[in-house]
Amino acid sequence: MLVSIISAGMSKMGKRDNLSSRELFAEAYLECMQRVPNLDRKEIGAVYVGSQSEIYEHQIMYGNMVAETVGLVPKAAIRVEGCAAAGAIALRSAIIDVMSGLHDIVLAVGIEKMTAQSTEIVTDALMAASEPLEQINGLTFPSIYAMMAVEHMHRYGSTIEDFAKVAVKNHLNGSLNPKAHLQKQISIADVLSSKVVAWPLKLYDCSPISDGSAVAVVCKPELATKYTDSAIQVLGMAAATDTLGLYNRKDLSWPNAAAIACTEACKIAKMDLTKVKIAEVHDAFTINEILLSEAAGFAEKGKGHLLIREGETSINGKISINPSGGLKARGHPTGATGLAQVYEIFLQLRGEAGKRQVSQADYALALNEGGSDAVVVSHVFGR
Amino acid sequence: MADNFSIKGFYENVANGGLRVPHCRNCQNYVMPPTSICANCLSTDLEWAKISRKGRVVSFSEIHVSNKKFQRRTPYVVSIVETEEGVRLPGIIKDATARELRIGDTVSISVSSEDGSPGYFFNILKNS
Repeated sequence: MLVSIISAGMSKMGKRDNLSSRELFAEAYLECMQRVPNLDRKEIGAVYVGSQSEIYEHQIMYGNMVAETVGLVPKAAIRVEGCAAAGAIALRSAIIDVMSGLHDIVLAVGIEKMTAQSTEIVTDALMAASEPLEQINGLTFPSIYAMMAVEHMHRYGSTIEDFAKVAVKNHLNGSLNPKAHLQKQISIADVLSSKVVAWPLKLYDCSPISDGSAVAVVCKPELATKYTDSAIQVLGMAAATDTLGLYNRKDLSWPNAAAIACTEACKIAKMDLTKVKIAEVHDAFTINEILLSEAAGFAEKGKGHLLIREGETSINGKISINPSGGLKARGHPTGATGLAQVYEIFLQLRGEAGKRQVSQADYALALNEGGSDAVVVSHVFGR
Repeated sequence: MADNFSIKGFYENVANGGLRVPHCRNCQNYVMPPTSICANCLSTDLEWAKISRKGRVVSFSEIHVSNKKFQRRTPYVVSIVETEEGVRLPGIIKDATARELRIGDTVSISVSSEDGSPGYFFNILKNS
């Protein structure tokens, strides 16, 4: 065991009109602190804040913004960035602080307020995570994932119906999650008839543009019982990178950084992923849930689409993937997503996930990525 | 030829009608994206090497939602193309739709100085 997570909180995800990331963070923080009444905020040694872009709110220095919002000044409070992996990077930074002995308790925060901007501006802000040659040539992020999808279809025979099934499953899970951005069930026909964003990906293959925040409190394991009897444990973690541009990879449909991050995290956790019954993975686009399930070893390379086709990734299937609804339905406030995944796992491992509770879940995996699977952060959790 | 090995230098060459990428004289690696150091051997002994104007489609997509800069062009088809030397380039396939394209199709690469152009384009030569 590396560290304990003694509490977590998450704002409602969605289009949160009239709220800035300050208020969204406050919502997540208050829920988190209510779970651990014995924790005095003065015991928090440092804060790490994951946020994707300064464009949405014309704001950097999110560390300070978070710290001053809940009276944590003058504690160290630092923003970390890795596009949509910022949340898991904040968690990783908090874990490293605690493991090193620098602090006993560290707060990890993820935030993003995206919906005040137009889709064109959000598209452009996300394009900053690709490489200059891709940006100059107008490759949007949906098109980059679409190119992974086209290669996967060509090589392995996955279909647009398989992708649609990922969206349908995640919307069903989202309908069971009262904090999800999208709580409406959809059909395969709804996905296939939705507007093309970047062929073959359609609107319902893409996660929504969302506002939200999620937080987690990382604690030295020896101290955890002072605050809670039901902490969850971080058993393994790893991060890995790939080329910034998709075009520089020999195998477009193999998320190599994700495969390495999973292998390394398992090595640290001294377990394999067959024990894992829950995985929150980065389905920013439906194809990515398929690719990441291959990288995690839930399916062989080139066979990820067979999992969804056979219903094995539904809640209480062979491996429950994205019981929260995933990015697709829970919502995708970029910087918050990595910690929103942790929030779901925190609830699931404590048996507090309500209608979407996975039974007999002792271990869970979170896979959060940024760019075109260019930075991937994995965490393995247990009870 | 541009004297600086960089993306800026790459586009200076393109503006003069040339399609060249930095090539490492030490390990023969093509340095992509164009920059001043070879990531393979860390040599800075580079040269601008001409690359083939012919390539093959590695993957593609048709974009219907874009940013402001590309709005006028939308919808448009983007692709990753591999040249005969094995250099990969992202870019736009002119006058194409996703429906008519297949992985493995052959394209020619043309440089263009037209207004608002990203510098080079792919054109379908032969469907695979």
